[in-house]
Amino acid sequence: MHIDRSHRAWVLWTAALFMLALCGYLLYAFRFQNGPSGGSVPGLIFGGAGYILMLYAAFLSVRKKFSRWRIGRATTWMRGHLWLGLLSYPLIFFHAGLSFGHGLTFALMLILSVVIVTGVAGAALQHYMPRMITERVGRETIYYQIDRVQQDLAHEADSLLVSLFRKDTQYGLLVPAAEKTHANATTLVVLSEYSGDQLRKAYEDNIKPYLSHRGAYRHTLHDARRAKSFFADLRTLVPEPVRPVIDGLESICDEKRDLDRQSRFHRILHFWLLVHVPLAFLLLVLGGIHAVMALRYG
Amino acid sequence: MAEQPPLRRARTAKWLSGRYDLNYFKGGTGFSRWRLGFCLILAVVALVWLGGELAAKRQTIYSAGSVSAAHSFFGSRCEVCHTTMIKGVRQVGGFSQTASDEACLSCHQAPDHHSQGTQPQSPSCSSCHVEHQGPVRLAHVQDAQCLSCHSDLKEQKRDTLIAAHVRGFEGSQHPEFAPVLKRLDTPPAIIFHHVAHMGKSLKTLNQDLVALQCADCHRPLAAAGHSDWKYRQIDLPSETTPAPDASHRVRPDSRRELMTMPSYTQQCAGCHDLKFDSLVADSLKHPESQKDVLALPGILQQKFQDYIRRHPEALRETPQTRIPEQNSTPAPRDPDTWVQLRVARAEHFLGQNTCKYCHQLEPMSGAAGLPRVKESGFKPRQMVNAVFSHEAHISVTCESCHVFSHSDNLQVTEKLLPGIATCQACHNGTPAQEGKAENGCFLCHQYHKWDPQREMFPSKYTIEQLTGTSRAADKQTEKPAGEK
Amino acid sequence: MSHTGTEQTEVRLVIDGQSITVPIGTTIFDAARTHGIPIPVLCHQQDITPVGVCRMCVVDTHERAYAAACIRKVEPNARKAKPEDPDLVVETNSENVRAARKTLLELMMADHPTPCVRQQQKKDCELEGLAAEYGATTSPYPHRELTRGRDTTSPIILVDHAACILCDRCVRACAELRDNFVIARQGKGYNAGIAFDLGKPMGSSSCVSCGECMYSCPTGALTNTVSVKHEFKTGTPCETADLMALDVFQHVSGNFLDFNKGAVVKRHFKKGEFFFREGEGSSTAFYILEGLVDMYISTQQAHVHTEEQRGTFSSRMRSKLVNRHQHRRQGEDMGRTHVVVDGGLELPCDQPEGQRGPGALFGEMSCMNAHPHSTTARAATDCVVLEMRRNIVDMLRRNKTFRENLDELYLTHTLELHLRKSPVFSSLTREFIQALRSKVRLVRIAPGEIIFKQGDLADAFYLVRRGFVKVTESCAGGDLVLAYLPAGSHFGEPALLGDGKHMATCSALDNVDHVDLVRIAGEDFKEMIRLFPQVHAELQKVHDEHMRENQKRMANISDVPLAEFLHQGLVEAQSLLVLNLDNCTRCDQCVKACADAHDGVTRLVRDGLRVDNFLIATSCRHCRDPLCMVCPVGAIHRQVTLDVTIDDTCIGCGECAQNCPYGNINLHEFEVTLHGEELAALGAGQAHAKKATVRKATSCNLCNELKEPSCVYACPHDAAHRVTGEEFRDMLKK
Repeated sequence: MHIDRSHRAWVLWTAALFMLALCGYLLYAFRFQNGPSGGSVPGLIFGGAGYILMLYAAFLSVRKKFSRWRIGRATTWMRGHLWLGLLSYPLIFFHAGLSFGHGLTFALMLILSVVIVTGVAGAALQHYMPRMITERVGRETIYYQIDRVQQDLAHEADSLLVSLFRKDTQYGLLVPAAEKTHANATTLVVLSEYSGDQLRKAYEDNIKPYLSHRGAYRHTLHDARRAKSFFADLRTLVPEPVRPVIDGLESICDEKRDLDRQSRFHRILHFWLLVHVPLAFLLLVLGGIHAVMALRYG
Repeated sequence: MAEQPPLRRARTAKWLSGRYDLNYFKGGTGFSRWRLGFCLILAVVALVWLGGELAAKRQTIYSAGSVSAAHSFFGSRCEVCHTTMIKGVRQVGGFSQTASDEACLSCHQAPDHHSQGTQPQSPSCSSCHVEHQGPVRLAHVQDAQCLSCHSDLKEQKRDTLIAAHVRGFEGSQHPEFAPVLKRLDTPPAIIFHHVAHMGKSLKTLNQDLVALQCADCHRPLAAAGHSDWKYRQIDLPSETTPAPDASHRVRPDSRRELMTMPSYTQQCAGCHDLKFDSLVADSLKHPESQKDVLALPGILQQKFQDYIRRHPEALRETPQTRIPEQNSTPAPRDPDTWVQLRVARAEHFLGQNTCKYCHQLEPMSGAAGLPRVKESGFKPRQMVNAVFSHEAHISVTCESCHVFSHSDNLQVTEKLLPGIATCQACHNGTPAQEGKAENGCFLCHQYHKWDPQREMFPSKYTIEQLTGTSRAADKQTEKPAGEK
Repeated sequence: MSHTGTEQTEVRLVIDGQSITVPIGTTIFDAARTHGIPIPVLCHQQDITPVGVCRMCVVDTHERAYAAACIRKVEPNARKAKPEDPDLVVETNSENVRAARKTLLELMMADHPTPCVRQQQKKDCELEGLAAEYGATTSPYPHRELTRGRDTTSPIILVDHAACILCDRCVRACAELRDNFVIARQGKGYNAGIAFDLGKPMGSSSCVSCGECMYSCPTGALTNTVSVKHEFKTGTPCETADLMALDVFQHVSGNFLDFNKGAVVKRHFKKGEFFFREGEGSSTAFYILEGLVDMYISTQQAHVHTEEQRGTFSSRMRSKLVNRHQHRRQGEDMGRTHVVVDGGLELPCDQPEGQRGPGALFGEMSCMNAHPHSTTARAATDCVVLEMRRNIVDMLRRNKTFRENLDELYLTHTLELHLRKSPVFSSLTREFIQALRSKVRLVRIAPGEIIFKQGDLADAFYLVRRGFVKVTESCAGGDLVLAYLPAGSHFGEPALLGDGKHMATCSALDNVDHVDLVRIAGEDFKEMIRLFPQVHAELQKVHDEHMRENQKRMANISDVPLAEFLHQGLVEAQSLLVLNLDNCTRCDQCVKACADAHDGVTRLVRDGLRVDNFLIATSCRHCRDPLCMVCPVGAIHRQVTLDVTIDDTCIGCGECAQNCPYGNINLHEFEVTLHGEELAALGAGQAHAKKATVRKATSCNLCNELKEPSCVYACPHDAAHRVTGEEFRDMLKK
């Protein structure tokens, strides 16, 4: 989510609520006989409000799961999640009297802190990364289908060179005809033994492993500059009519590079959720236990 | 070559969308499985942790904070304090397990608040003594808690000694001390002038010249019993005051915080002899009560009878009397009459002179015609609702607080009990501030009405019960009992 | 079509003693048909090019040889003795002609497997019908031993090559009506027959199972094996045989009726019950079997106020510069300025009632235009009616006679209403309109055909009777659509009022359907505005407004990369799903939401081409000019709001998916439970019920039961938007 001017109302409201809570806290902390405590009425109000905000924030995932529910637009929920979720942090701190407590409460504060930190980091990632992906990954696909698309690419590359055959000291290759008499018109090109060998070797040793291996970040062809010179070299080795085939291979490798880059970006963009969501879940469970036990021993 | 996309590499919307499995989003992605997995793992870890604590019967993880130093030795045994009490009976189970007053009272004998009878509702222990705040002294309670009631006492039947509006200690927030106010109204029962006694050279009965110091008459209670007083006896050698207690702790019952009540025998007798007759060298023992006073005629008679037995010649002497109405009486010739006469004269002398010198006397009463002496009203503790420790103020000279006027006019009654302004001169802030002495309520006042004579409290717990080591200990002790 | 060239000499001919005058070039068959003289035919259908191969329509023209009436055009006879003589004298039913036909029939029947499948099932094999009429049921010629076999590979069409008479109707239907070019003639001599894609079995050919061939087939060579399950909420489905007995279905293939069994239901209405009310939308038409129906029109001329759910397109079409209210999909205030009137009924405003009796069709305009009804229909007596779906009405309309009747009714009754309902023409007098009636021409424009081009000299003024007219203007990047004119609107007047040249190109919108226009010649138009200055003023006002809008629009688009925009066809879109890639975290929520909204099947693929920093996701964009509407069963159609939807009658032929240039329609397999009848139809025996998978086409329906499409509603990152092409253009500008 891009955090832009449209968030202004949310920011202002959150800030206003925070200020209100802060004033309430200061009044209560300095006026109250025993100082701030989670068990006092204002403390319970802060704790309850914080927990409700956390529940609300967590409800986003339920709302996502049941997207058919017409309970407000997901965008609105997301904004609420961001801002009200953030607001829960100071509220819980006010509940705890600005201390970390010990035992269960310490664990809770720690988890909450991690959840908030990952959440803020995630929001920052979601603010900056999409634009970066858009700019740097031109031929994006659906992340979960990258394997399939990559397979298609490998097949496509295969099909370009599938007709390469050797006879005696020469190689032959069918390439798309320059003059299109019909859609699949091809011409036979004869390659010298050396250039045929080189072409086959380049394909078998470099291109094919690169295309079949997902996330080959260390591969020569993953470096755009080196890949370019690699294909430029290859182009000089083959006769003119074969060049469209090389162009095709290069284009396929370029696309594969985009896929790898997309995988990486996608993982960066989403990995924080692996921390954020389970911890948030744990936070709610332990928070509930804390509430029950605290009220029990009131 | 560059501008024309080679081969079929042209991308169209139809081709782009056609290359996918349209059900790819079903059945979850690797990412969502990881996420779910982490959720479950973390939940399991948390439950194992909590379950382990539960199994080990440790509940300290739910504790809101470490308990106070005094309670820390059973701090891990939540159930000692957190019990469900229904009508005073300890219940097992149940949801609410707040620390009830009953739980506190099972160890602590905390008398009710002074005005318990007049208060609408007595606050619970935990409303002032907040536990789980770390190693603090639970007894130490903030002023605000006192002020929450005492700033505006609404109860009509309240004790008149308790001010209705106390808002602190500074300025007019706290009223003048009640004893001080009372002193201003009533004349003292003992006529004593510090001016007349101090700062001058006085002669003792031994004809020594002395200059009286405060400590010659006023000492802490603890010092009162075992050390002799300088002016108790004429022939006593001058003695140094005993070394102060090694412990400087200011405690209500260290007997060093309060001063002794000055008494005739210990302070006055050194100079003021109780002579009752010019012939008899003996002095009277200072009567300490009205009963003693009533016994005086008997004592006098005894003393005179002894005297006449040893000195029969006294019968022949003409008594020199200043009693005008008895001038005309003939000198007694038999000892009984003489004794009678002498006793009457002595009684008169005491009543009109010796006693009246210091005491305020009420009109003659009783058959003996002796005066009734007004109670001195001297108490070591003047402030009944507050404590004051001289010990704590040992570094300050007596005169700093007990200011007496240096006027020679002995008709002015003295009022040496310092007023609140004296205290406020130093006690004008929290101890954290430099140049200011603490002035919290609990510095002088106490909430609970502690009775020094309170009975022994029936104990309830064994050490094993409190520390939780009971099982091992029980088994060891039970085994031999079972074998027997 | 030939709507130009108003001066044409006519020819006179005498058919069976009846004197007839027709335009030059009219075939004898058409001339006879318009005057109710029947000529038997097998190889000809009214909507396809006549080829004259069956020779059944031979007539005696008193020439050297008998002529095939379907292809013989009437020309002026230069050699006729006297000018008043007819140009041609035709005998259609003389003894000789009948004998010739009988012989032809006997020859055909010799090869025909009597009774053929068609005759067995629907009893409307045209060959056997004619043979019976001519007494040629038993052929004197020896029956052919060699059989050409059957092709059962298609799931819906049974091909019996033995029954084929090589009339080529299926070949022409496949090519001309559907543009599919799958069927052709193959083989020689006895082996001659039809073939699919160079002789593949039908099931594995490129055939899309549209069914057009079997509707065209005169015999049992191509018959349906299954019926589409049309669902009506009420009414009893009609038996095919019952329907075929009705006059109105005379020219409709029994195959078609049988295949679309259930698309026609019989309903009973009590007196006083409403069929539909003005302003309601529906996709069915009614044919009266018994009873009388009152038609009301409550809205006064030029005071049309719509209630909720009335969909017109004006707001979408005209308010291009005003953003559509994003969160409202239904109950939009349409601000209608035009009213479409169901043809064939006089509904003058001062006598707001008309009555229709048995044999009349009503509600058909609304059904075909997907437009709200302009009238209210109520049963005057107890009625029995047939309610039919749009594809049935479409089929009826293929019949020229049927169409001509509608045209006639329109001219005599509805034109006046049409004009007077428009605020612009409200001041026209009745006398003038009646005078105009004889001067106007009704023209039919083929899908996509250009009516006039930008810069052409203006010679006429047009009213849109049915369908949509697309107004485009050429600009640097391509053609820019200015407006879509719905039925009831008018165009062509700016040029007549101004410098005489058209300022924009107007063409029939659809690839889907014909557009019917009313053409008023330029002189008549000028006469009109001379007589009625108020009309002139009104037209001028509307014209000025359009000019202003155009200027604003042209100013707006100058900042947009228009070439790319036009190249991707975005301007045609009514509802693009665009994802702002600066916001999109690629979380796939839109896809999941889509699947959730549609029984677990996504109708959206989150990939596609990019424009600037937007991704045009693959989801139906509801083109204003949809290429996908080529459904054999009418399952894909447009709603009142012009949204394209596919209903459950889909047979999974995939033709729409194939036609969609953007890959927005997908075929999915659905689990269904088949019951006895359907199983029997599939030849699965007596099993009670059986699970089966059925292929159906799916496309985005904008979640039309909901206020906002799920994909947009479920986007947490404010990335997904549904916008029209114009709105998207404005977004790009920012």
